[in-house]
Amino acid sequence: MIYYIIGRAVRGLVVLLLVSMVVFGISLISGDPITLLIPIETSPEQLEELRNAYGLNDPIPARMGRFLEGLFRGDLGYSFRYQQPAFSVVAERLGATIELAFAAMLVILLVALPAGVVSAVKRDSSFDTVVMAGSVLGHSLPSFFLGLLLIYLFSVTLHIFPTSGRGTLAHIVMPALTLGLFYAGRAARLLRSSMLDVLHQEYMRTARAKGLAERIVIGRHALRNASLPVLTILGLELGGLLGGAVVTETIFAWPGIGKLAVEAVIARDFPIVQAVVLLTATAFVVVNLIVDLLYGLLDPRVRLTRT
Amino acid sequence: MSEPYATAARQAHAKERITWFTPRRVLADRLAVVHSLRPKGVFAAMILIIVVLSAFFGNAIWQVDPSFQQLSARLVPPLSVGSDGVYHLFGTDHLGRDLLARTLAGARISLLVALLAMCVAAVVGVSVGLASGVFGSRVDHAVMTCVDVQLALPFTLLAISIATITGPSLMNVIVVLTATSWVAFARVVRSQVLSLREMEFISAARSLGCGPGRLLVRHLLPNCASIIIVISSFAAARMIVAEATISFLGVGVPSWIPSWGSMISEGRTYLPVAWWVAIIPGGAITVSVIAINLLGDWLRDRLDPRLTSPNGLTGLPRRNGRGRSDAERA
Amino acid sequence: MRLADKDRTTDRKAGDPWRRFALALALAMVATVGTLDLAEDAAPSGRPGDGTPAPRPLVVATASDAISINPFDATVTTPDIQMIRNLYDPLVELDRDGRPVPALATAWTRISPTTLRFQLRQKVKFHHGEDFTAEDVKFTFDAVRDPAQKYRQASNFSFVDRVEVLDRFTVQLVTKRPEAAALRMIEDFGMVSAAYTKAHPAILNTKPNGTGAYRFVEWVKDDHLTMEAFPGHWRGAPAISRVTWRAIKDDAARVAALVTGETDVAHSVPTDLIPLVERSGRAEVRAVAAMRSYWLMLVNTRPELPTAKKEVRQALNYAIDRNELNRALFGGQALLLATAIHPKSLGYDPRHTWPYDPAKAKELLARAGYPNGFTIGLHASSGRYPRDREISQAIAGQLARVGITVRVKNLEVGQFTDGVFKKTTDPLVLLTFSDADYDRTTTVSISHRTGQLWSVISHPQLDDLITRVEGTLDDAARAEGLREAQAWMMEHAPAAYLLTLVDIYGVNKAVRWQPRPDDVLNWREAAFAP
Repeated sequence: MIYYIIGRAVRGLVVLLLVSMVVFGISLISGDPITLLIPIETSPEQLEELRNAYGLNDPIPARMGRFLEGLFRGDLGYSFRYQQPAFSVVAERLGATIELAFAAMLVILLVALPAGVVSAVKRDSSFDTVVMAGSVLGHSLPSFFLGLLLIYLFSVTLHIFPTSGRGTLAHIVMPALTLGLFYAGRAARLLRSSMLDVLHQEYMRTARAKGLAERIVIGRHALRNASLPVLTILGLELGGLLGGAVVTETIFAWPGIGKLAVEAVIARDFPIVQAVVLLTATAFVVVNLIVDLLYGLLDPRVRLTRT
Repeated sequence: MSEPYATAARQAHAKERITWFTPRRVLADRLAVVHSLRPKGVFAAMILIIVVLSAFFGNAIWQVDPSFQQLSARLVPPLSVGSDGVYHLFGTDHLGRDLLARTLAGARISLLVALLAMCVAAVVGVSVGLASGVFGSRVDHAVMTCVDVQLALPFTLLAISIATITGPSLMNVIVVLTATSWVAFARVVRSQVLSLREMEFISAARSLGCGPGRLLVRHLLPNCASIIIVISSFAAARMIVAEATISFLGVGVPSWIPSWGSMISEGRTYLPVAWWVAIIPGGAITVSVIAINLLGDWLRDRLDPRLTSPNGLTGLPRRNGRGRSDAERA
Repeated sequence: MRLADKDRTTDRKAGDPWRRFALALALAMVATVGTLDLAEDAAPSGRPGDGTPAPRPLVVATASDAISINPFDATVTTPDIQMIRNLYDPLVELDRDGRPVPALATAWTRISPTTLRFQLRQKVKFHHGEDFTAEDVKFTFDAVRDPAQKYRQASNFSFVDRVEVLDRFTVQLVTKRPEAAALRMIEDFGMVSAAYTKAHPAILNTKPNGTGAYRFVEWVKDDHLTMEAFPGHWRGAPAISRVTWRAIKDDAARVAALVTGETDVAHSVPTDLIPLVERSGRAEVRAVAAMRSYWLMLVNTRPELPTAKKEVRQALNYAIDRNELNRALFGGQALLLATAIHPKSLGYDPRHTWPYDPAKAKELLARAGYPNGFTIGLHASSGRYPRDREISQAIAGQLARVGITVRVKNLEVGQFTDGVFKKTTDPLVLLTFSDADYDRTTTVSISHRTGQLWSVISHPQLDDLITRVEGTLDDAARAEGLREAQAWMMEHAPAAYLLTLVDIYGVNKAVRWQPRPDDVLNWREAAFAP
């Protein structure tokens, strides 16, 4: 077991290294950020001087060497635009993204849990159909479109919520809904099908035969077992949630790392892109590892086949 | 499908039905197809047919040039006549171009891109998945590392990066979409192959002297077919949304080609005063994706009985310890 | 058959860990969201309705957040300079007509073609208490050009040879060559305190210290920047006591924020959303013809291009309906251009116009050898300049009427700029140039002279004309040279000069402030109506 963990950890590190090499490769091809920041009266000679001064005209092996060296030292680079270490720029905005991710998870829980459970219990009723239709809708609406609709409806027309930015509790409602409803739809369906499977199991019959109240049967026995696959999948999604709320953050001007990363790519500020990508990749790898281990711990069948 | 596994599954499926027709094997098989078409499958198929037909024949019926600008007839509301005297069913956009014509043109592009990208991703992903499952653990580890790298890179950032390097073009969009979707196919096919490898008919074939190539093509691949089809349908739906997303961000299809995503992006500024410019393409995307998703559901119910059987999601111990229902995850 | 209670107890115990875990997780999430929000609210945000009894702040919404508020490192693409101008004072400012007026320098005289002497204002204090003297001026000019620091604004001051301190309130600026535009080049350069900055130049990135009307309070990146009135300012305390800048990139969201009262000023309102502002009752639209123009540059550097021929370039000028562009995209408020010289600048010759004449355009095309038109690419940006996508696509539509098929490429700013710098663009390039100065010579030089970063054309005759004008120090003689240049431009059509921009601001009716053509936002000029 311990060798398995070590092996996975090593592979995780390799993945991270490869990811940063990919980003570095893109940064080499894509051009430098200096051209976008200089005053308009700059002459071609002055531009070249600046590029030399920042080491952008050095040969590729030298730049790769510098990059790798920095990586092993833990130095993620210096952002030309912000004149700050890339990591501090990212750290300033990390709180906002985490807040959004948690709020979205709350939405998922609050929506998917009751919807999935009740629609499984009342299978093929009108409630079930409504929930299934809703989940397909939520899963099919592109998130940017949903965001625009929400802004149009609740901000511009009804003036209930502010249009963008971060501040009070009212500011987080629409971004959380936009981000969360997409996954909530899928989670509800997953929960429903896995509940359906569990409800047919024999131990359900045993529980009912024992005379337990239906509420306890479903809440404790069925849900506990049904939530396992849902949790694993949601856990994997969470890794993507942290890094991938890019579109939502852009639409709602939410000052998180997703929006930062998009602007950094466009402005070719690659140290920041590196920092964000490494951060989300690490989150992804760690979450994967945890989910794998948890699954091994919680499902004895898997443990048996593995060892 | 001629393999014993799939046929047995299909027959088991057919036998479960409470039927009103004569339970003769052949008739039951054929009529099982018809009877398994539940309402949602019919609904989805109908919508899809409408979308596809209008995409390819719509411009023949509604003969308006989607790129024709009429600056005097900007932001005309739907169901009204513009100052140029032309009736606009869906209104016009901010440059006076007819929205219905553009929506139809956008349908063509979206469907084309999604289909092409899906095919290429399927080819790449399936090959990689098969290779990974069959050629031993070294190859497997290498492939899985690549898969993890791909998954760890955020899609939107990758799309923007590639677009800022190579400039806007249709080919780039397809490349980006393929690059981020082959993974779903690879993973699913790989786990399928890993579990099939242990089955008796494979060892039987091997003991009869079947080489790896033939094993792949004749025995393993057809058994993956059903799950590949299911994944493909969900992948197609995701591609349409992904293409719309990157066109929305401005790094997708070039601006002289109408695309639903870029139409929404351009119409966003005018949302408070001219809702139709952004909402109508958005509605078109939503409807198409719903239809494809429903179709995928129906296909999955039909083709992959394991997911509807009593063991379902929590059954079948896995080699890689991941949760089941890769189909849903894809 | 009901079971005894003890069996139920067993079941409850078994389920406990799960329930506790779920409850704990939910609580953790709610707590996180709650505390992060509370932390936000605790910091002084200066937004209306935050409950503090502070005087009413002015909330300004711009299209992007600043990159740097360091006068040495300000960039071009963001509201950097606009914010810096409130925090720092320059020696010389431009008034609304583009003429230099005293700021930290009360008077100036030209001692020689390369030397300007400035008399400095006395009794001026920095925000942190230091006195403003000639030493600060010398330090500021030397620091920005420090080769060790590689500041972005350094190239702007490469024309400076040295700054000499004559006494406590007199300095002399010596340039390397006779520089007629010297005043213009230093007009927005904020003076910093030598005592404060010398030890740690980087402190200006996070803790600005200037002599401006507003003092820095805080900057939450990508969210807001707050400044408060500096009571010790040499002009007196400004009327508005607190200004909060917010960045809202999406046009519709910015206008919506104005309409709902979240902001008091919305920068850059699209023409189509004007009715929204007007209908709100709370805000109104204030527009001003900007000192910024859209030019469609016509690349002639490769002989096989259609635009290498003079007739084709003239045809393009006749084929573009500037009036229609103006009406459709700018509500008729823009000024039409015929040449590179803005109607409000030195040497403007009102005799030149390009009438909209598609028939003449077709005739010219036929004469040039393109009777059936041609297909050509247009290199444009996407969101970098206001309405750039709409204008580029509208031009394509207009040129289609004379048989020219235009493929518009709306590129991200990086690729757009790279193409222009490396001269790898399509033959049509849509650029804007901003210049608040009355004298547009420098702008013409940057955009037309062969080999300049922002110039995609090459006309040796025009280069000579520009050099001649640049070397002339007398205004009247320069005007004459510029008139000659305009005549040349009408004949050879190096570009299709389209129109000036119109800066449209949405402003709360209670705010007394008029926008300036140079898009400078000096909030000391604003006040709330009583």
